[in-house]
Amino acid sequence: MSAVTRILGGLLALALMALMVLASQWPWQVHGEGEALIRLSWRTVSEPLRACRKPTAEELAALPPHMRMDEICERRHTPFRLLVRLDGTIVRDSVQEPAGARGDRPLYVFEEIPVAPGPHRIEVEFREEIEGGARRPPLHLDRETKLAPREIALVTLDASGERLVLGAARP
Amino acid sequence: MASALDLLRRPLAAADVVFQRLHGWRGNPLHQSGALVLLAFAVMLVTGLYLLLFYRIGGPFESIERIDAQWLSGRWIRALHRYAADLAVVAGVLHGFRMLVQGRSWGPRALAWVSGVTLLFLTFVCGWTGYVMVWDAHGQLLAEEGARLLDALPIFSEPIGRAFVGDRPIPSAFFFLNLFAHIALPIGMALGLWLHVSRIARPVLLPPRALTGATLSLLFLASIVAPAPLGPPAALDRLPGPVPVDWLYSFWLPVSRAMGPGASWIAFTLGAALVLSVPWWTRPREADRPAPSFVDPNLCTGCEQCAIDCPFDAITMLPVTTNPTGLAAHVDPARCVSCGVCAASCAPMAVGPPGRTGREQLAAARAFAAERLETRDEVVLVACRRGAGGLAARHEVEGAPVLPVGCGGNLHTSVVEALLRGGAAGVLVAACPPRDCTSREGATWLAQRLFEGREAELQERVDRRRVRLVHAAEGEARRVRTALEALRAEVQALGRQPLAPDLPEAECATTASGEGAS
Repeated sequence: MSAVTRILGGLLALALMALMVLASQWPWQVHGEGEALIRLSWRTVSEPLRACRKPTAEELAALPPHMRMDEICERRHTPFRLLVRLDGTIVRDSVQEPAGARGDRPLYVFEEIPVAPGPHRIEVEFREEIEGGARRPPLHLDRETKLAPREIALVTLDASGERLVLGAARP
Repeated sequence: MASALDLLRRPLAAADVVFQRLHGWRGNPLHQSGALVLLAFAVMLVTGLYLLLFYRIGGPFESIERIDAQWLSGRWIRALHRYAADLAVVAGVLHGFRMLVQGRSWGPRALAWVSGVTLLFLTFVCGWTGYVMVWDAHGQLLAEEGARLLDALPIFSEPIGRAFVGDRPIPSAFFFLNLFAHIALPIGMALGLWLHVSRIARPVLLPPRALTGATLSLLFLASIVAPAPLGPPAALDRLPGPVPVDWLYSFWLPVSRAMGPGASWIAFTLGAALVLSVPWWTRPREADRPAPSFVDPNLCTGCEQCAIDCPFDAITMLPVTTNPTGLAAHVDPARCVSCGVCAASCAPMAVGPPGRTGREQLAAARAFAAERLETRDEVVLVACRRGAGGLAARHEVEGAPVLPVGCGGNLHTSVVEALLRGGAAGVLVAACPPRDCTSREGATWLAQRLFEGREAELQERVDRRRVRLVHAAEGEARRVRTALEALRAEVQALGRQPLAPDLPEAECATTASGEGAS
């Protein structure tokens, strides 16, 4: 193999390694200066729905004696309605279901709302979505805030779990 | 499907030509991609042990900062760890691509394919956990997006993503789990590697010394010249700005963020199914699949050479009473890829795939000589269909008649002798570069049989000056033509060959299975 071939081979190897190094650290502008975020995140344990009924004779007959119960109750817990207004405009209106296959686990709220930096008015309403009237008082938040570029404002429950608060996320 | 794979093979063949020319077949990294992955893992193991001494799960980012501040070692060792991880992915993907387009992914090779794809995926997972361990903005992005994807699956009682909301500090258990996965996964991958190479004999685990040295030198150079970047520390209260990202591991981040978890999972599942099912959708139709080798028990002398040479450990010797050695070869059809190396290794021509045994090759060579060698001054080009510059499909090259063979490693040396006896002035055998032979060691054994007396060798009576072997990949037609010209010139200088006309059938068979087979 000639010296020229060796040099060319070495240059090719160097070029490929340089490409790999570049691919290993090429920067990505994930968010620009014109972006900020309102994040809603909390956990709450809702009440069981307790919708119970008497089993029919056929249902009872289909069960072994030790499994026959006086009432069949739904195990699902209460869903909540989440309503978010940003500067007077509704940006989220959804029903939040409790976690778990049977809907009997705690309920986790996690929503992210991209906004422009600057002053904003945030209104959040979180109430039980149940027929016949809610058993818990709804949670409300109505705050004005000013977001810096790329800042994340966090709406969450306070330590008592009974009040929505707005603050900066921990670093 | 075959034509689509042929299309994909073209750029690989073109790249092969460049690397062959500049590095030779011994130094061609494209032929050593699998071994390069293992070399990269060896580097990661050594550098990882060093980094582990200084890593703290209680302050991950700060500990990495301290490592980077070690002016003598830490910074470039971390860079070496990172670039070795990048090399592992690049070489792993190349290795898989090569196996795919060369049709080396189905039949008995399906196990190697599936385990290889799994190993590659685990390499990615290992890399992701490594980047999360650093806990800079890149690690945070990976952790948050990974959590978002996992939370879309109904498997966790509490969403993992809550850990990154910013309402409480990240638990150190999270970093401990990451560290554990980062260390435990490679240990599990060692088992996967065993499975990956379990169906091949003599697996090559490291590249040749020169390529190993060159690769390590380049990695050292890169780590000193371009130390691994440390992005801004992870911050849960701020959206990340510009972040140095390892695109070789995090290429999926922008896609996943744009598509959302549901569509990402669908895309991942479809992609995984497509890749894992390669052995099924790339295999030829049943009628076109080459049959596994078989053994003629009446001819097998029990010499064990085929079992020694088989690159896929598909041949075992079983006790018999029908020959003096008390052994006979047995081919396991579940492991045989029909490469035909056994046919070339069997002096008595007792074993080989149907249609490609030594006897059938010899008969074909004689017919070829009778039909094509009108004069005694022609050089014959015996060309491998997979490599040899793609010349096997030609009727003749520069006036030299072409005898195509399925694989150079399949070629019985008696064919070369038969061609010379049949009137050829010389024989140029064009096989794939040894590290690129689809029959693995086929091209290596061929060279040893032709010139170094390996069992089933070219008989001593054959004038070696009239026989040449050239290693040429699919795109290297020029190399074959050059070798052809050179051999032509040499045999012209030698004059007409003095070999007697072809031996009678009985004598030829005796010679082929005689002393040389002991």
